[in-house]
Amino acid sequence: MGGTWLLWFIPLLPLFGAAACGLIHFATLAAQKGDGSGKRPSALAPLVACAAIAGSLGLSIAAFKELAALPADARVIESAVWEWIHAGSLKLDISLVVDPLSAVMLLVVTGVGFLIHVYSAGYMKGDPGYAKFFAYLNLFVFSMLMLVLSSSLVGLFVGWEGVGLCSYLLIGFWYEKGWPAEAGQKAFIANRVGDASFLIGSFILIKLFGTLDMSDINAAVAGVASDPAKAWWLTVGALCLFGGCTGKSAQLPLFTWLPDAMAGPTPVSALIHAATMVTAGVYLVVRLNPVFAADPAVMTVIGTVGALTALIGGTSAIFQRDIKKVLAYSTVSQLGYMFLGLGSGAFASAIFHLVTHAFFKGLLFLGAGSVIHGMHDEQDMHKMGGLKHHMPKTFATFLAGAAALSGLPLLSGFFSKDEILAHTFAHGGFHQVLWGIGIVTAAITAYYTWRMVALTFFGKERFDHHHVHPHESPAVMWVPLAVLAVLSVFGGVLGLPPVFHVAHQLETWLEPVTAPGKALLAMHGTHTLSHAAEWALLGLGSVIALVFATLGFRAYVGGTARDENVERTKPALADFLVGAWKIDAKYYAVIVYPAKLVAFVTAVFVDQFAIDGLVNGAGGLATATGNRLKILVDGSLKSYALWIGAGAVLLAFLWMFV
Amino acid sequence: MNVPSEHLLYLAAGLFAIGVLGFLIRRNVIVVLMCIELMLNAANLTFLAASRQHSTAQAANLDGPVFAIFVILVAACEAAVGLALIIALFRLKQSVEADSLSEMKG
Repeated sequence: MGGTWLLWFIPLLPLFGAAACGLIHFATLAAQKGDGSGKRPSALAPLVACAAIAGSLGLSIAAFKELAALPADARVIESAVWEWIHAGSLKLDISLVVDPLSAVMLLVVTGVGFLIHVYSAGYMKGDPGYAKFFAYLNLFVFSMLMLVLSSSLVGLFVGWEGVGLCSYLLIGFWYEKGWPAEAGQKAFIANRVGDASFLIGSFILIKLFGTLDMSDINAAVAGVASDPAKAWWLTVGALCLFGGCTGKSAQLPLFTWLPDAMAGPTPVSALIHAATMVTAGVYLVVRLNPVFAADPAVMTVIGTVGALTALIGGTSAIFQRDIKKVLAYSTVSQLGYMFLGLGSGAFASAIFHLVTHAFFKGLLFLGAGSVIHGMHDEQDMHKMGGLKHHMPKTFATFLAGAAALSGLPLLSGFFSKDEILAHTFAHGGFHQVLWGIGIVTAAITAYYTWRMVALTFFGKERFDHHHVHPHESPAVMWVPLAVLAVLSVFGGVLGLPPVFHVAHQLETWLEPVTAPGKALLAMHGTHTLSHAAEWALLGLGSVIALVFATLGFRAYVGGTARDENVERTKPALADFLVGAWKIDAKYYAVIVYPAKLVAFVTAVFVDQFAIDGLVNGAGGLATATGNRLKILVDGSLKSYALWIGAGAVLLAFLWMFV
Repeated sequence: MNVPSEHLLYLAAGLFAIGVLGFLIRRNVIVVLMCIELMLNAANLTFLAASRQHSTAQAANLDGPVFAIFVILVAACEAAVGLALIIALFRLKQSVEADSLSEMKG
C-alpha cells in the first residue's frame, strides 16, 4: 500500500456503500410513489454494496501482503489520524492498526462478507426493502471492520455497538411479521447486559493501566499482575470483559438471543450470526490475551463456560425441526468450542476454529437459505426430504459443509476442533473434564449434523407436490456456496497438527500476538503432548465423528419416525432439549415476566393515578382560576380602558412615591 | 414673551386628563377616538416642553420635535384605521356606541 492512510478505506468503503444504498432505497421509494414500478433504482444496490466490499477485500489482501513482507516481530501497521480524547493522563487516538490477528479477521470479514453479499443479491431479489437490506449489510461490515481494526478499547467498543445495532436492524428486517421485531429486541437487550459488563471491565482497565490502547495494556499486564493489590482488580476486570463476550458471542448465560435471531433473513444469519459478529468475543479475548491469561482462574472460567455452552448448544440442536434452529444451536455450540480452546490458552487454535467455522457454518447457513428459497420459505425439515435430486448443487456444497462441521477426517473442522480438544486435554487437571464434555459434544455435533442432512436431502419427499416445486437456486447463489465449500474442505491446511511435521501456518502467523499471553501462562507450567498421544486423540476424534455421523444419518435417512418416537415415548426429554434446557423459559419466568409486571403496575397505578393526577390537577387549577377571574373580562370597551387607566395611574404612583 | 416650561407641562397634563376622562365617559366611539388624539397631543406637548428645557442658546435639542413628528405620523395612521373600523362597525351594528360592543365577553 502506498500509505498507511489507505487502511482507512477498508472500513470507509462499506460505509460509503451503506450511504449510497440508503439513498438508492429512498430513490426506490420515490419511484414507487411515482409510477409504481420502483425496480430500476434498487437493482443498483447489490452492485454498489458488492463493489464496496470487494474494494475492502482488495485493500485487506494488500494490507496482508504488506504485513507478511515485514519481519515477524515488526508486523504492525498503524495509522493514527487525530487525537480523540485527552483528559488528564488519559490519552486516546483515533487510529487503526493491522497486526497478524486483525489481518486474519479482515480477510475473514471481507472475504466471507463478499461471498454473502453476492449471495444476498439473489436471495433477497424482489424484496421491497432490497436496497435497504444492502445498506444495513454494508453498515454491518463497516462496524465489524472498525471493531477488528481499532487500536483502542474505545474504538473497539464503537464497532462492538455498531455490529449490535446492525444485528438488531437485520434480525427485525421483516418487522411487519411481528416476531422478528421481538427477536431483534431480545438480541439487543441480551447484548446490552453483556455490554454493561464490558464497560465496567473497560473502566477497571482504565483505572489499572491509565490507558485504553490495547497494545499498551498488553505490554503492561505483566507488571500489574505481579502487584497483588492490582492483580485482584485485573481478575475482576478480565471477568467483566468476558461477561461482554458472553453477550456478543452467545455464551452461557446470555446465549438465548441467538436462536431467536434466526428470524432475520438467512444471509444475515450466515454473515452476522455465524461467521463474523458472534466471533467478536473470541477476537476480544485473543486481542487482550495477557489480561485474561494473567489469572489461571479466569482461564478456567472461560473454558468451563465454553464447554458447558458447547454441550447445551449441541444437545439443543438434536431434536430441532427448523433447519435454521439446528444451525443456530450448532453455532452456539461451536462458539463454545472456541472459548473452550481459549480457556486452555490455545489462542491460535480458537482463531483457527473461528476461521474454519466462518467457512463451513457460513456455507451451511447459505445452503439452508438456498433450500428455504427453493422450498418457498419452508424451514421445517419434517416437510422436506429427498431434495438431493432437485437441488444437486446445493446438496453437494451442503454435504461439504456438514462434513466439515461434524469433523469428518481431513476436513477443515476436523483439524480445528481436534486442535482445541488436544490443547484442552494437554492442559491437564480440571481441563480434562472439560475435554470430556468437548468430546461428547463432538459426538453430538456429528449426530445432529447428519440428521439434518438426512432429513433435508434424503428419504421420501414429504412436501406437498401441488404447492411446492423445489428448484435449484440461480448461479449468483450457488457460486458463493461452491467457493465456501472449497474453503471448508481445504481450510484445514492453515493449521495442520504437529504430527504432520508441517509448520502450523496460522499459529506461526499469530505468534507475535499470542506470545504475551502464552508467556504469562507458562509461569504456571507448560503442557505438551507426545506424538503418540496426539495420534491417539486424532484417531479418537475421527472414530467418534464417523460413528456418530453414521448413526445420525441412518436414524433419519428413512424419515422422521425417530423424532416422533422420541416425542411419544419421552415427551419431557424432547421438550427439554428443544427448549434449550429450558433456560430461556426460566429467564422469562424470573426476569422478563416480573419486569413486565412492574411495568404494568407502573403504567396502571403510578402513571395513571400519580403522574396523570398531577398533570390533570395542574390543568384543573388553571381552569378553576380562570373561571373565577373571567368576571373581569366583561366585554365592555370602557371597563378595559378603566383598567388600563387605573394600571397607568398605579404605575405612575409607584414610580413617583415608592 | 417667555413662557416657563412648567406651564407647558401643566397644560399638557390638563389636556391629557381631559382626554382620559373623555375616553372613559363618552359613549360615541368617534368622540373616544378624538380623546385619544387629545392624549397623544398632550404627550407631544410634553416632548416639546422637555426638549425646550434641555436646549441651550448654542445648541437646540431636537429629540423632542423628532418624537413629536413620529407621534403625529402614528396618530394619522391610527385615525385612518380607527375611522375605517368605525365605518365597518356602523355597517354591522347601525350604531357607533361603545357599549354596544360586548361580543368578546369572557
